[in-house]
Amino acid sequence: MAIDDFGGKVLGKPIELLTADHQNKADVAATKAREWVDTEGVTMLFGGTNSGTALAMAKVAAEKKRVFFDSGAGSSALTNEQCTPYTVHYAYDTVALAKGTGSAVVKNGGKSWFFLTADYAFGHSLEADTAKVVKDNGGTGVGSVRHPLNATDFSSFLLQAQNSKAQVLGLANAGGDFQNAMKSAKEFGILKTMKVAGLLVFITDVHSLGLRNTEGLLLTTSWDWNLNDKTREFGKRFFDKTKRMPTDIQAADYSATMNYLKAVQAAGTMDADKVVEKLKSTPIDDFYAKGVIRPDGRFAHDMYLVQVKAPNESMKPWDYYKVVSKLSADEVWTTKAESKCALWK
Amino acid sequence: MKSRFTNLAVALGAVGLMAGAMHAQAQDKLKIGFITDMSSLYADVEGKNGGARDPDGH
Repeated sequence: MAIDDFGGKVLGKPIELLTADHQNKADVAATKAREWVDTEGVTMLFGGTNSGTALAMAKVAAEKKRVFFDSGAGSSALTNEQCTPYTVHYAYDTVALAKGTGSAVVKNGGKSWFFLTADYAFGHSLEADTAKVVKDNGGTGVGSVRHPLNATDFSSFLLQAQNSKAQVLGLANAGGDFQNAMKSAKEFGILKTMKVAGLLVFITDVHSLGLRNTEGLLLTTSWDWNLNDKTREFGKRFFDKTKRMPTDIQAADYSATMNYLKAVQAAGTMDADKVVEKLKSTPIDDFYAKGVIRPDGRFAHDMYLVQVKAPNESMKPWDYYKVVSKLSADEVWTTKAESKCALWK
Repeated sequence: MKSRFTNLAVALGAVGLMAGAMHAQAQDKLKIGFITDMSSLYADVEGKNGGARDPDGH
């Protein structure tokens, strides 16, 4: 969509999109990225949903000097301990999710937490960042259990959560894992005694689970199609093409691609160093977000704490969120003082 | 033996020409690579629609 909207050409050259499935395997992602740079001359990589694959792609992009935009992976390490000059982390990260949802749930009375965590880089990072926010806000973490990625049976993990007597079940997972954990928690009656905090929830999760199973859930998102006229216009165009409303990742992918192409045009070259310099010196203000790409590669923009509507509050299909508060870019991301990124000192 | 060296030289030359052609081809286009989960638990949240192509692939 972004390539078509840009006119299909930049610097007089046709733009071509190559796609591949990384199957949630870091080695597959890294191999494909390296192959495309070496044999196809790819100048920009994006995608990487799954922090393990994103970190692997970021490493290849840095080695090969190619711009890498990540919208779907959560690990804050992408712009912290493992930052590179070529990574731009676009949509959200585990620090922002923790500061948004974690602090809101504690302030609403959820003081003691038990974490059910996806056992890989993203889950670990989300649990650690949220546990810190819970503690900083006067709450406590009473335990955690890790489940394999793409788990099918959550019964033993949820039994441990129930036995912990914690007030809050923090789900440090996403996508199909979040959906399956929610379904199992409901089947086992856990929702009667514990409040669930979904630490990374997408509109597609709410759509799959239904409002009856998700109403009242607090979550943090970088974007929703129903925020204003511009977001609704993009949502409608996306729906017309795909028959689904976009997630915040899909909106971020469009915005990132469009802003990359603008930077190439403005720099007059595909050279990654010059394009990154242009990206980091040009504020972004579009239908997706308003902000700047910081020296550590973080696109710092406002985030939203939202609550899932009750069925009788939803006025039309995909009308699922009401905004509770806007989380300012100044407060929601890793600060310069907290950063371990050598590029931001 | 001489024939083997000749064949090797021809092969290496061909590889070099192919690499050069690929490089030239790459310069004729700007290529963007999109690598994500298109078949498993995160396929819905980004997946093929991260590229937002028409249902027929355009």
